[in-house]
Amino acid sequence: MPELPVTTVVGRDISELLFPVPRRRQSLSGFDEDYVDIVDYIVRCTHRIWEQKRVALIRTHYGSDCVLHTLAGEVCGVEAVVENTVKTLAAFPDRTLNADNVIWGGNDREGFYTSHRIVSHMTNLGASDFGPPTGRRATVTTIADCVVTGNRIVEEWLVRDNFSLVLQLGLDPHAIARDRATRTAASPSAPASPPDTAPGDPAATARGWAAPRWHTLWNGRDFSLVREVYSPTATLWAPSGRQLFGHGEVIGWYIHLLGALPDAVMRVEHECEIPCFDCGRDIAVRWSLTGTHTGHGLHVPPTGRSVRILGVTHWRVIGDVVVEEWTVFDELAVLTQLYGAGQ
Amino acid sequence: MTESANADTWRDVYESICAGGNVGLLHDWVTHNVAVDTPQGRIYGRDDFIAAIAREREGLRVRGSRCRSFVGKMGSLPAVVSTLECDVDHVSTSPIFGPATDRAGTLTSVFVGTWHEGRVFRAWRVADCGALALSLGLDPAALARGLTVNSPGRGGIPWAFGEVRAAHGQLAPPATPAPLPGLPAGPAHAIATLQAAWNLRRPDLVLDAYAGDARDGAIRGDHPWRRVLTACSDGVLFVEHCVAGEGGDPDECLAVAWRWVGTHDGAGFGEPTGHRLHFRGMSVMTVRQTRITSECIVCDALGTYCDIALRSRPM
Repeated sequence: MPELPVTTVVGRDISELLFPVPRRRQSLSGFDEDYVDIVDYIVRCTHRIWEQKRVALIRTHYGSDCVLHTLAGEVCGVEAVVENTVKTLAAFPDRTLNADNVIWGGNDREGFYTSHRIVSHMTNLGASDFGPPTGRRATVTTIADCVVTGNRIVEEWLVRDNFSLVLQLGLDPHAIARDRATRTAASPSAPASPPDTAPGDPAATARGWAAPRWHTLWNGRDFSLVREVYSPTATLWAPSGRQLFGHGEVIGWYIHLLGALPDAVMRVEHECEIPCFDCGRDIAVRWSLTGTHTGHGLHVPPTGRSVRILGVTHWRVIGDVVVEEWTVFDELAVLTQLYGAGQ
Repeated sequence: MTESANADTWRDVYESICAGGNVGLLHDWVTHNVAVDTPQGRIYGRDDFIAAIAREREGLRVRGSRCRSFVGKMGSLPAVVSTLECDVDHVSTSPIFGPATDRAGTLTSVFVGTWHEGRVFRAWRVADCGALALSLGLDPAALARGLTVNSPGRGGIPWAFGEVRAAHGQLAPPATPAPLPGLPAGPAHAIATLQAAWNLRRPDLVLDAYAGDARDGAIRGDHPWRRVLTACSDGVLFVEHCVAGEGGDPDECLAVAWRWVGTHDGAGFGEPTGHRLHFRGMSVMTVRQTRITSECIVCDALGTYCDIALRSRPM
């Protein structure tokens, strides 16, 4: 019987993804028998937990002492994950989690790394962290990066475009961020350090397609590289609903962020990739950007505060240039930092 | 089923749906996470795409329709292109066009979809709601204001960084046009010529891209791209995607998704906003050797007004 390739999400319908041919497509030691590969594990356990409301599955799919990183703070332990899931479902009971892509690396011996891009449609029918129910419908992009071993997620980095969500709910992100800042006791922000563009910097020599390019772009401030790295017709889906197009706007995006955080340092924390059909590849990069808000931008005048941004970027690369980019970070949490959370 | 057979069936389904048939048929033809790019922005997901089609046809009674399709390739992926003209009467309240005007018009649309295993997973669609609005005696700008009143801003980057100079060869290294993989040499040459000629503002070179009768309409006074250049004097034309037909005819079918980008500094689309203007559309054409022999341009002023409103709105 011919070996089946590991599942790919792009171009496949959910009806196919939810009912895979029941045969292992890769070694999955320690995983539940019905999962055929790591992509199937991610897609179907997400569907079961969120859309079938089998929240209890979290206890068999997350490590007991798992850590979930978000820019708004860390969540530790499986029961905390259960609580947060129920709270989100109460606020957005009809939330769908459409798998847009799962980019992955690793194996069952050393652990898998998955980067799951999700687009959710949902209606705010219950009270949420943002306030009373608004009754409004929203579409929001989330990327969940997970380390998975033996059927359990042991560490997760979760980024959601909360600024866009709040805007779609008709709420004032500034009011919410100010309120959160006054209530937040501690901030995950780390002090910024000056840019390091020395050749020996680990980011510059990191393996992978993205890391050295991003080091030159972000830390070297060589924005002309955009014209080599991106297609002239590249589309960039950036946080807060920004839809950017072409070299001019992509360069504008880099300069916008670095204009607000002039001493910012970009660090690529993880990178993995998969093929995309027979003509390209999809690359996932988890990164952090640390700097001081001494410039204009990020929705408020310069505050002088230290800022840390946790983000994930997915690139579609065809012919060695980026044709489409999805960058997600929680700009609402960034705004909360700028309003003085934990400082 | 072969991709061609799929495409033939798709054409019938698409025509039926747009002409008032059961939109639920789309469930079997597009993936759950289909991304459909339109002049107003991206529609994400099957449910929202179905809702958008249903919304577009609400309040309109279809009297007749004509659909032309061809199959081809976008890069290495199979693709289908459908051009549809629907003759409609505005008989009841429409979420787009408002209360019934009891007037008639034609809604022209182009759909380009890429396939994988029998379903469309990535698509581009332009429906010329702006032209229909004018036929109904409505003002697209006013309609756009109503349609976007409750939408959050799009938060675009409001600056240009060298596209104009790059398009004019004044920025080193010289700009390399986006690759159009899979496009035969003749059509690729025609498209590159057209793009360069418009970006250089050279009508003589524009005419060089056309053959015979097609030249008459190439630079006509009411050409939609002229309106863009009134609205944004620094506009640059990009060719985003192409689908080349597989018919093997001397005149090769071609569908081109294009986008003008520039600063909204003129009065082509209402009062200038000073923000970025993105004017998107599609051209369905035939090309013989290196020259365009026929061309149908479909764009949507209403969608562009909406996009302008969202991009110029503070976040």
